[in-house]
Amino acid sequence: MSPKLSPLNQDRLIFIVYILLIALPSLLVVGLPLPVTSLAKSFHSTIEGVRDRGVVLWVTDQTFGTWVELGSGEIAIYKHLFSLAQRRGIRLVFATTYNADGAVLSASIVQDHIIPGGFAKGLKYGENWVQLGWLPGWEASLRGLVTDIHKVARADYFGTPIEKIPMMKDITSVKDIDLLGHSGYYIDEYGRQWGGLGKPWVVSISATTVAMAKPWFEKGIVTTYLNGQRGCAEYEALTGYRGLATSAMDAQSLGHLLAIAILIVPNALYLARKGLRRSNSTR
Amino acid sequence: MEMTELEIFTQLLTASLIIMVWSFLYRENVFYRIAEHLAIGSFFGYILYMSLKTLYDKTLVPLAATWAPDLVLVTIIGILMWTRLVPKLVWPSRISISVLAGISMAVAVTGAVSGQIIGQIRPMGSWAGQDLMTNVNNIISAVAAFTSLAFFTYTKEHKGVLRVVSRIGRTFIMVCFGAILGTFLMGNLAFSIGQIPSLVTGYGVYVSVAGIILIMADLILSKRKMERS
Repeated sequence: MSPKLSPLNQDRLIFIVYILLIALPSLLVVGLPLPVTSLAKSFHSTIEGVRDRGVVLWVTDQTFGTWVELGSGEIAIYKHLFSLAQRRGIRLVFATTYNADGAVLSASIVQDHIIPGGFAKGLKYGENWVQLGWLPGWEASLRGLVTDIHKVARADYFGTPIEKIPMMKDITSVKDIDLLGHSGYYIDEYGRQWGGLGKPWVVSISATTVAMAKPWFEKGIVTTYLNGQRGCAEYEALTGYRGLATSAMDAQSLGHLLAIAILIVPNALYLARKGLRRSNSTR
Repeated sequence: MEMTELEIFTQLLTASLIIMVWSFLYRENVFYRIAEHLAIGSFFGYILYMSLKTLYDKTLVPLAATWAPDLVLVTIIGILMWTRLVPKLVWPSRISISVLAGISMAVAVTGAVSGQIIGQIRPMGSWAGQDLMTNVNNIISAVAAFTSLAFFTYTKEHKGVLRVVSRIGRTFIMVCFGAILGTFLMGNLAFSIGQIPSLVTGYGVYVSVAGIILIMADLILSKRKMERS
């Protein structure tokens, strides 16, 4: 009797092998090498390059879906930005335009990681950082953030009127901003509104859509970007704020090996069988 | 470190929901459907809350404080949208939709011209780049753009030169789709990898073991059922 599996059981087998492979690094340290690319180095140096007392506009446009991929890197970015605020007085403006998830996630990073981790020590909300929350409208709000922040955000995440926030008095448009940055799934909408403003713009983008970032980067419109979870892991290595992305890299590498094996093995078997059939028929 | 009851409950709930959703990989089942309905219900509840909170904080409170003309206008446009709920009063909602569509289109098109068209062409102003690889890239980009456009030319039959050119274009499109699929796969792997720690650490382990036992029991029972029939 042939031990041939049904298509359903073939799928199940692949899922079992895949789950076991990605679970393995959580139980055993595999320690596959992770070289840091020039993109991540450039991302780090661009943020470090913001002038003293400069302003960073960071748009957290993540959803709970992208969070499992980019969340760890986002926490490292927030920690880096807050440490610069502590060391060099850099002022931080956080906002969300895509949907409400980003505002909730941004607030939870500050509440669960920045304040307990001591990254907000010596800093004051409203003077060193502000969270504008969700500004519905996505692309229109992105436009508003660089043309007239006070018009697009009448109040912050906590409902405080923007004119009562001391830091926002001299931050009104892109002319007052030194670095633009965003994280999330998309890039074209941001490029359309932020491209050509003459300000450095960094992106932490999902690996799913990173191909969309290439044209913006190749043409110099995007200064640099982090490529999904891998980019986040590299950034964590550079900043020293290691998190889930770093520990997920072994699982990511093993998953890729399985994907490559699934691509190669069936095709090789198919070609081998085809060749065998052909040689049999010529005999 | 001592865990609070809430943390233990959160771990168990997170792991249970992940296992319930992933159980779909085995087969469609009642646990998957419960998790699916729970996710959709809680998502819409949460979106409704956040939308109302944002509307209150960012529009209604500033409106009550200042009565700024732009806020009054925005509020009227927003209210008009609700007239769709009354069948005889559908037409005023079209004004709101037109305004929204018009603004979105204008914002996107303005940005597209400067960013996606001029912004993409301007850096390629010269064939001579900074180094050899840039020049090669520029040539490949131009050939790919031209031949891909030729592939989508439907007004002329693909014969002779056009056939050859469109075939080259098709190859570039396939390479592009392959690269996108590769990055798509990489991204989707990350989505599942991010959930694994909830299943193999802490109290999530108990849930995972329970899930595996349930699936194995179902496999055995289904096999016996098949043998009997």
